[in-house]
Amino acid sequence: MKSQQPVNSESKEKKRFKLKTEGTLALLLLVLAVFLTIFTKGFLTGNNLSNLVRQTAINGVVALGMTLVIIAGGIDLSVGSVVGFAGILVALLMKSGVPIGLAVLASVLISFLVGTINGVMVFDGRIPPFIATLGSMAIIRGAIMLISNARMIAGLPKPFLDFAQTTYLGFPSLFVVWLILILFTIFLTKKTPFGRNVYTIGSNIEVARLSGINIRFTTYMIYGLSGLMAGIAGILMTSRLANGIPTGGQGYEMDAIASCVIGGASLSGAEGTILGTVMGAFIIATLRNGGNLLGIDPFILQIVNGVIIVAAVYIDQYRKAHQK
Amino acid sequence: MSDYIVEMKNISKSFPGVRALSNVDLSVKKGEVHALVGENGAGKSTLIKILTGAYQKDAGTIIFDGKEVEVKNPHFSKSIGIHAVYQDITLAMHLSVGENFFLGELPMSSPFTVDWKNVYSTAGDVLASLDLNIDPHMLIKNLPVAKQEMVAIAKAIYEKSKLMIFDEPTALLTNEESEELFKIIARLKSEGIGIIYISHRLEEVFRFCDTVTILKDGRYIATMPTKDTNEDELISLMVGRKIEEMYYFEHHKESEVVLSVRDLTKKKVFQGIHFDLHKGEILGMFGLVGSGRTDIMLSIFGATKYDEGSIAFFGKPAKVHKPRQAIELGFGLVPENRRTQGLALPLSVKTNINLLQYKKISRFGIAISRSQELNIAKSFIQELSIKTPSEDAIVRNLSGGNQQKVVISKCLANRPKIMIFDEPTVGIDVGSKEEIYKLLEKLTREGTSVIFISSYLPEVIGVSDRIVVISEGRQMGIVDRRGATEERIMRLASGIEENSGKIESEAV
Amino acid sequence: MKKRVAIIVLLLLVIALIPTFAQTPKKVAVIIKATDSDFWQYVLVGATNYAKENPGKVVVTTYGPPSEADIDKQVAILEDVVNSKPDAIVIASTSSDATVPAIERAVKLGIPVITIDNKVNTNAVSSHLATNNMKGGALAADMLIERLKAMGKPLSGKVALISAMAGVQVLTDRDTGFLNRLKEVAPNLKVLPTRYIDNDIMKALAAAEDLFTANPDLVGFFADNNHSGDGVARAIKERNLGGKIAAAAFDSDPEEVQALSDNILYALILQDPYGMGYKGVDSALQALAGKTLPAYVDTGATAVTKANMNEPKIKGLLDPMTLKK
Repeated sequence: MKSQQPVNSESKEKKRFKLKTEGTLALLLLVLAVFLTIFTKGFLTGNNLSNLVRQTAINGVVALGMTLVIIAGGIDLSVGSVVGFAGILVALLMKSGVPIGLAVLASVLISFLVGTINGVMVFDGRIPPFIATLGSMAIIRGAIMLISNARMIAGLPKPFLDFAQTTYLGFPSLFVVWLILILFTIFLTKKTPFGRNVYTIGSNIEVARLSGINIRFTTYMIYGLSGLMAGIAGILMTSRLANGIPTGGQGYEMDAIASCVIGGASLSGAEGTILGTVMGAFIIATLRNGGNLLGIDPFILQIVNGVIIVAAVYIDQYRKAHQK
Repeated sequence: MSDYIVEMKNISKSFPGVRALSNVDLSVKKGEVHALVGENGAGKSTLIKILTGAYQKDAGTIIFDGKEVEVKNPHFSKSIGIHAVYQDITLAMHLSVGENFFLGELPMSSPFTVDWKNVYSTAGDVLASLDLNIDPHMLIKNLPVAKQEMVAIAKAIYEKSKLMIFDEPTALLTNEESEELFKIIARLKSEGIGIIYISHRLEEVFRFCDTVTILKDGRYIATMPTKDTNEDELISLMVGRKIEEMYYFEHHKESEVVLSVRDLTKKKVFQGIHFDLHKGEILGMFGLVGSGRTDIMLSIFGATKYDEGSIAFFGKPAKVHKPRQAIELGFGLVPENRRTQGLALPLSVKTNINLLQYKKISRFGIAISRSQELNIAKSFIQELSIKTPSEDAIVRNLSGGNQQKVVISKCLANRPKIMIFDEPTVGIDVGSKEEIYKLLEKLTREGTSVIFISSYLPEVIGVSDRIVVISEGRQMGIVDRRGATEERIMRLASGIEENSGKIESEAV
Repeated sequence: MKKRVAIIVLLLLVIALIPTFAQTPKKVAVIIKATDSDFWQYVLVGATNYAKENPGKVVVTTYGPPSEADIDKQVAILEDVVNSKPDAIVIASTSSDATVPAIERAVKLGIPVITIDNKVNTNAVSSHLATNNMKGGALAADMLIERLKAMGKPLSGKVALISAMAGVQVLTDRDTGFLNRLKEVAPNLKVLPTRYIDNDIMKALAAAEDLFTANPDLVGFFADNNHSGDGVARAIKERNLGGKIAAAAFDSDPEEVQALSDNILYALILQDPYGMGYKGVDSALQALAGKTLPAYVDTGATAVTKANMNEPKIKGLLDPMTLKK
């Protein structure tokens, strides 16, 4: 085989590059962490790190579902509303006497269904995902206000509230849930035919169709899972805040999208990884945490946040352009 | 002043792990049509990209119009008068023809208003001077591909091009449209513009190119006047094989009928399509572009609906409404456009090859077996000798021929009983073509049946057992290879003659 | 069948319309800042209660954008309301300027406008009913100091301020009032840079946690609305610092009230949203009757602590929904 020589050297090249993709983010995170350790007293303490992962977890869970949608070339603007919806729904169900387990299960399932409806609009209705989920974002938020009368729902059962305060092996429960979902979605994207189909649909839907991929089912599942993740996040939030909050989750779709793109996902589809998104979520949360610890002017912090998003995507594009 | 508009000398370029060009020369005279030929991966595109500033050379010199230049970027290349017309048209699709002439520098009638009159009259004049009947007010997207290409050329002329590069310009054109293009090229030549012409169609090279430069594996082989050489010599310089040998292989048609298509009709697209496909047979399907042959295949494959008729698979009526069902039955489709229909371009070679396999190679249909995935990919990379840095390489970065092999691997991995090839050899190099013909022989030997669509007559006649001829959605006849001549088939395809209709002309 | 239903509906409509024709009650439009918060729901309760107590005299219709961030939406609502020609308008304008043209147009058309809560930069309005938020902020500072003294702590150390959102006049007033009073009476208390939380409880919680982490010597907390108050209360609770830190917050919602009774928040500074809605409609009717109204009415701010939270009057302030008729 005459092409043997280039094969070897290029595959090495490829590996080095692969390390760079998430490596850049890991490095950025490390720099942030070292900086904060040096310049603040509190950053590298168990207490603060445990806070940090708890603060990241809820947005992080939402971002996992968003990653699937973005890899498939779509977008889900309704996740913030679904967070609020599931949070209110679980509270209402428990208040009306439904057992905790059942209330949680029902809320998660309904969130999944709500997500699936987005999938129906996108696949069967051929509505662009941006528009379809923009619509459902408003519809769901309206539904929340309707079922809650725009009021907080308090007086939830204690075991439900205790969950968010529990730790497992020293890790906060919210983080543990996130971790399980991270592992689940990594498995889903890396190891299953479903995951391959998501990437294929994101790269070219016509190719996917002619390759016999069940696009309808896959699209339903992608948006369904995005809803499901948002639903779980909403339930975690209600447990953490001890109240169903009608305004909960507002703007979370933007944080989720930011996590994904910082993590290397491309809004044109077929690019992105769960691990990248997780790091993206950590970077956003660490900035916020660090800003608070240092007492940085919040407006400057906001600017830094924006710069990081743009810079991360720019670096990624630059790296990809120079890869060829 | 020298006669040469451009002289590229000792050009070298390396990419990580691959030496793409080493010491390549290319010199084009003013008013000369200079063909650049070579297999895919020979380095033609890289050389052109260095000239247009998309890549930077590692070594060598470029002398343009008598002066040594450093082509730093595409903008610089344009500014000195180098223009390229690619297969993928690079015009603003949603703007008018006139606007495209002036992209970024519209003439102004006042500091704030565009001088539209000037835009359309200037564009109109340029188009008229080339005898092109195109309304400058039309939006590009509403023009046929051929006209879009003409607009791109006219635009280059307006921008005072001194050197024009055509990269596979006829790949998407009908014969008639190609003729129009050749006329324009002759005209550019007469105006003293240098022309670099890249094509896989050697007959074009001999028809109007003055000189030809051959590249192979990134190295310079030879430059010679076209009148001093011939197709056979060129091919042997490019690949070291002779052309007629490529189609020469054993046929394996058996009597068992695998697929029966009866009176298949899709209103306004095709009518009364009627044929049997036998085990081990290569059934050619010939028709001009737009004759409906691709639609027929997509209908059989379940990708588009048909209105009437029936399809039977091994004697049993087949209900195929979705590609998925066709694939499960044992169909494989290598579609006409590999980039938009065949490949997930941003994904790896490995993923693309395994695309139809993931369910099968997963434990419980959930967890993909990494080792099986890798084995399948590796075995096809080896079997079809796909040139790729690794099985994880992104398909977009492969050459056309290798991309086509990935699409074929994807279908073959599924062990299909019927393979449909839709124009599989368009835009790929001679070497890859030959490998595809060999593969056809191997497949049919193993009992697979093949439907082979092509608009290149010598190829269809060369490889097929029988040929179904389609004209304007109608089946004009089925011709056995032994009675097939180019003339006979052309007569059928152009609707001049119709043979005994739907009845198969020859029993097995 | 269908016909019968139609006739019944028609009859009902006629019956419903009779008193309208008979007494022609005044139509008053009440526009709030946002439908998503308890505070504004309380305003609406006040306004609709007034209508219910005076049947035939006034009909109240209510409007509002989904969120306080929707300044433009509120302007659009106001413009539409003006076009629908009500007899009077009561508005809690989110922006002090954006609504000015529409308000002036309404007044020109003979529709008197009463502003509540936020002052608008025009002289066209008949009256302005509001809490003096500067005073409210100062009251919060007083409560904080009262608590520190009661705990026997010196008036030094760090105090944190969490604000729901940047650039909102009401909140800025509260924060300014708080800071000015603190500087005046306890100059040795150092106030940390303000944290803004986009009116998101999760962000308020995160910010409060981080402030605790970075400043172990924190002695006091001030949150300038209910969502920021909820987040602060939760952080204090999770760290078991209830009773060990002086915390005051604005507004009331179930979480804040719970925190108050659990000794986690020391004081809530309450405006009287119910009264604002109730008096707003009343003022509108007076304006329609041709009376001259005072340009500014302070609806007052009340400090509620665990000690007085069960008094009936305070209960109504804490949850005006209990007053709903």
